[in-house]
Amino acid sequence: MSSSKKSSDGKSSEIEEAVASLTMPFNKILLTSSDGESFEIDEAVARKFQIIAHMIEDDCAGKAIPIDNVTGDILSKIIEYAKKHVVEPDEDEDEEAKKKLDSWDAKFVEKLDLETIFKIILAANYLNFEGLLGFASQTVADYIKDKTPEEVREIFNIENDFTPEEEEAIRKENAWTFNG
Amino acid sequence: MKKRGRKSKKPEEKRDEYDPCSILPLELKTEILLKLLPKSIARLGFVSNHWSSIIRGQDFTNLYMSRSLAQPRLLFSVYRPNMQMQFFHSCSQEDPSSDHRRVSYTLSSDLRYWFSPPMGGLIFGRKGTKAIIGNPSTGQFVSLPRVKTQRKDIFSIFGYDPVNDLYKVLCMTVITKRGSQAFKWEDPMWEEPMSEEHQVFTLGPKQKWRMLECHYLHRHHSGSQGICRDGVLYYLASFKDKRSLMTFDLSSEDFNVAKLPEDYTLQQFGYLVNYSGKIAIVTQAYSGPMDLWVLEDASKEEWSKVAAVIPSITDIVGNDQIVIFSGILPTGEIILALLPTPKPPFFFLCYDPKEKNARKVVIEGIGEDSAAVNVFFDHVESHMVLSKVS
Repeated sequence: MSSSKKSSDGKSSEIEEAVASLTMPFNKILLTSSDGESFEIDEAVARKFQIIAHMIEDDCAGKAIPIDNVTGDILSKIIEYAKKHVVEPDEDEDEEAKKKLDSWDAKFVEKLDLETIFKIILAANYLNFEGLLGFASQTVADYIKDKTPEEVREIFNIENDFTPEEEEAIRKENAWTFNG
Repeated sequence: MKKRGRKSKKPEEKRDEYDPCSILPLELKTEILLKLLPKSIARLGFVSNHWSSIIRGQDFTNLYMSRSLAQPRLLFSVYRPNMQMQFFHSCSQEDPSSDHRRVSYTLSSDLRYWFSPPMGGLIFGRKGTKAIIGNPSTGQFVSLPRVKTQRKDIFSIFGYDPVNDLYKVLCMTVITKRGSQAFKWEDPMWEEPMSEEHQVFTLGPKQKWRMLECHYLHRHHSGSQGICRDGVLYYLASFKDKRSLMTFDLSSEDFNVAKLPEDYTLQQFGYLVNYSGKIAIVTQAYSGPMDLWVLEDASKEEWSKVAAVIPSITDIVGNDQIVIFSGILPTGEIILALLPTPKPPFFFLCYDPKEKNARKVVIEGIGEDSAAVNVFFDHVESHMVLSKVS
């Protein structure tokens, strides 16, 4: 993720960086997705991504950071979530705020299809964004927790690769999986 | 969450391309699985061979079990007579008010099993010669072949051998005399019947009860409870006319015997408990203080006394209540279960030996309908799916 990755000529990217730091207000960070989309965000928001927070600490974050593994559509969703979660309300101290945020979170994932959520999980893992990784993983878990194996296969388009004999054995022996 | 529209199946195309989940590396798939309850995880093993191999694989299993070990739970075995209902209720051991879960097991008849303390996530139940082993976190139980005996007095202990990763049950029986009982002092020829028909069962497909030789002539104490710790079974028995501690190594399947301390109350009234990871004997002369003798070294027969652990039971529960030492919380508090099972709401006591006071811990929803409740501690949640035995 070095700032010289983009151009073959090391010098011109240094100039780019210098220009960026002159034109960008203090404590704003520019993220660029793998497909060239740019996002300008507050440093506080960028710090939610541990991988960037470390770069800032180590003083090697230029003002423009390329995020090579994440496309623009996914990165924008992640940033949207990060902005909302810059400050996490304390459950005990501010129940109202926590409830509001939980409700926002629920609406946020409601609109997303499964493939997008998996891409978000992958990206959040890459960026080391604990909060979103945990939340997105929990969302998938909640979605599949009560589903029958058949339903899960349908959701994930998984082939049933058990032999008919194995299927029969499963059907006979595993009524307990469907108990309360 | 929106569901993706179903694409028409093209037989030549690889399945994986349409499976959104396949973009996730194993460690992220695992992250998701770890957020599920054991029953859901077990169920997902029936989705496909691939998922089954992940869930039953060594990596995921190790990860899951080490996480479970770090978060031991209290397990309540609840039996509701008249309703033929058996279920297992569990909660966090560190904070019994949190994280309550319930799994039911449907009884085929009004067969009430006596359940042993759970080991390594599984639990053993027996009624007469009928035996079952199961996972109280998923509700799956498998029947074992019947215990090989015609006798009624059967003694069993369930254990886990960590060396070989095996679950085993040890059984033995003793003749019970019907009709007029002859006692030592009445009949000089009377000999105490010894435990016989020692047999062991190892959990696994097509396994059978294997008869064992035991070179120590002893007589187990019927109705007492054996304990398993670190791959060794411990139980109290009469050996050479003296109450002794029998041990059975699950790995070598060898028996051994150790002396108990020379204390009359202990020899008459003691029962085995697990005390902070060590084997201990609790003695309690009626309403007097509860003493603890801890086994420091079985081979050297060394015991140390922790006296008056609970100074006076009657102060806490009154005269007509019996308390059973169930276990110790990480806080050092002693769990006392009450007999008979208290009327709803069900509760047990946590006694703090430092502060010398007890608090009630109430568990809602398990004491109703004359339920019989057993409390087990240090239960670890397991996602294990068991194969049929016979």
